[in-house]
Amino acid sequence: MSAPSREIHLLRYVPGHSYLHRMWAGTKLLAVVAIDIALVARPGWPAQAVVWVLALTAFFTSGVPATALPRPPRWFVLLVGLDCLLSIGSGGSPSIHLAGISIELGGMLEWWRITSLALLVLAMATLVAWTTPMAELTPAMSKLVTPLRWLRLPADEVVLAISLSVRCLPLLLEEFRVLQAARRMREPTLPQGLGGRIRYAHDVLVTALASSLRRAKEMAEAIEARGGAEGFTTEPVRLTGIDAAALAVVAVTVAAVALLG
Amino acid sequence: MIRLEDVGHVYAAGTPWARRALRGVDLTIGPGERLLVLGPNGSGKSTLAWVVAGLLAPVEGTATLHGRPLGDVPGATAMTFQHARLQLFRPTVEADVRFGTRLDNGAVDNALEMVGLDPTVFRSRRVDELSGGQQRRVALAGALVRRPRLLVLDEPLAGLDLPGRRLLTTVLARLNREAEVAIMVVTHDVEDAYRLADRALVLRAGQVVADDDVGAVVGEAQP
Repeated sequence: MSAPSREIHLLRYVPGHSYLHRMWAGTKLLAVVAIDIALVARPGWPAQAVVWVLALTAFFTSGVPATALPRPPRWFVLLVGLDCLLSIGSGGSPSIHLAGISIELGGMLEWWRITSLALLVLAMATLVAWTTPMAELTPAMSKLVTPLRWLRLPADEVVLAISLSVRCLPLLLEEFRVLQAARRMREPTLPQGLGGRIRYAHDVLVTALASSLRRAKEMAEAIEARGGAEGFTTEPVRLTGIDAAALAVVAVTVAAVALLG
Repeated sequence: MIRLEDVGHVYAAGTPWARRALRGVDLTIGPGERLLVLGPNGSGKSTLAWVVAGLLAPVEGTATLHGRPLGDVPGATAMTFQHARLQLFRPTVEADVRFGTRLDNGAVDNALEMVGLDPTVFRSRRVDELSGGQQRRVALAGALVRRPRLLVLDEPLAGLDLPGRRLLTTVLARLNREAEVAIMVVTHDVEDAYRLADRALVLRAGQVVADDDVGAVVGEAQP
């Protein structure tokens, strides 16, 4: 029997009652955006350390089990490892001496810093996804972009595009799963060699792209038929003590990043 | 003969999103048999179809064809999925039916004729210009060209108009009769049950709750 396919769980909600689950979705989005902007502006190690502590504390107190953590496929880990090795070629100080050979580690340290930053951004987005039902994201985003409406910018269209992208992700993954299964049914043995693998990827990706474009067109027509992107219903926001405390922690964190980074 | 013994499957096992789809399923499908799998949405029908087609290894129990694990017998089973557009990988009908094989034009034409499409008319047609029903029959031809012993069809009549449903039902009956292909049809619609199968199996919450002659099962299911 063939091995079961590795299932992908992106942006899936884990039900719970922790303070993160009870927090308004807008507070979480605001926190992630503020910290991300600060981190990208000041991406030094001390600043990252502060945010890592915050992210890990949030994870361990969120009630989300460790089994929710993504398990990247082996090929991905190998590629990242190879990338790390290649970064040594960039050179730079400091350097170490091994068996009479001098190895400059500056490039690799820079690689670690950027990779850590990427992981941190991903970790915070994942925390929001784990603790926020999808249905709460669109009204929260709609509320947060209110200043754009004052400037007569297409805020509703932007919110709609983002929320549809997030909501369609599971659909896309399911279509991709069916596509791969259909491909396996038609050609049960995976093609050998680089040419065969490229042809395989081409078949699946082109069909996925064609199907997604068709689905997107149908969805756009359905939205137009129902009156377009206007008229988001936003419930009044009820901020609690948890939100106030979270925003205070975020303000302190952003200040620490700005100072330390 | 396909045999499933105490088959169970859990999606996302070991994660907070673990979901049991099948539990303790025992099933045997003989040569040339026509089996209908019925059940409400989320009852495990599609998971069962994937297991029988050899696309999914169950986490519990065994699924075998003449004693060999199903996944180790490529080409013995074929499956068509609900959305035909996800199964068409080449721009023209001829290229798509031949896809993944080294067959000549005669075999392609034969497969097209089996599904009721005239090769002289359809061979060079573009697949994206065909109707939904025609696309479904091209996908079926692509599955049949490999000469499987069992054909698994997931919701084959969904989205088709009445003439389309009648035509596909006739095609399937002829395939079963002339090519002696066993057929397993997965559906939640009992309307065409009598014309599609002789035996029916009902799934509920991943478990088989009925497995009998189609008349007995459908008669019981309807008020």
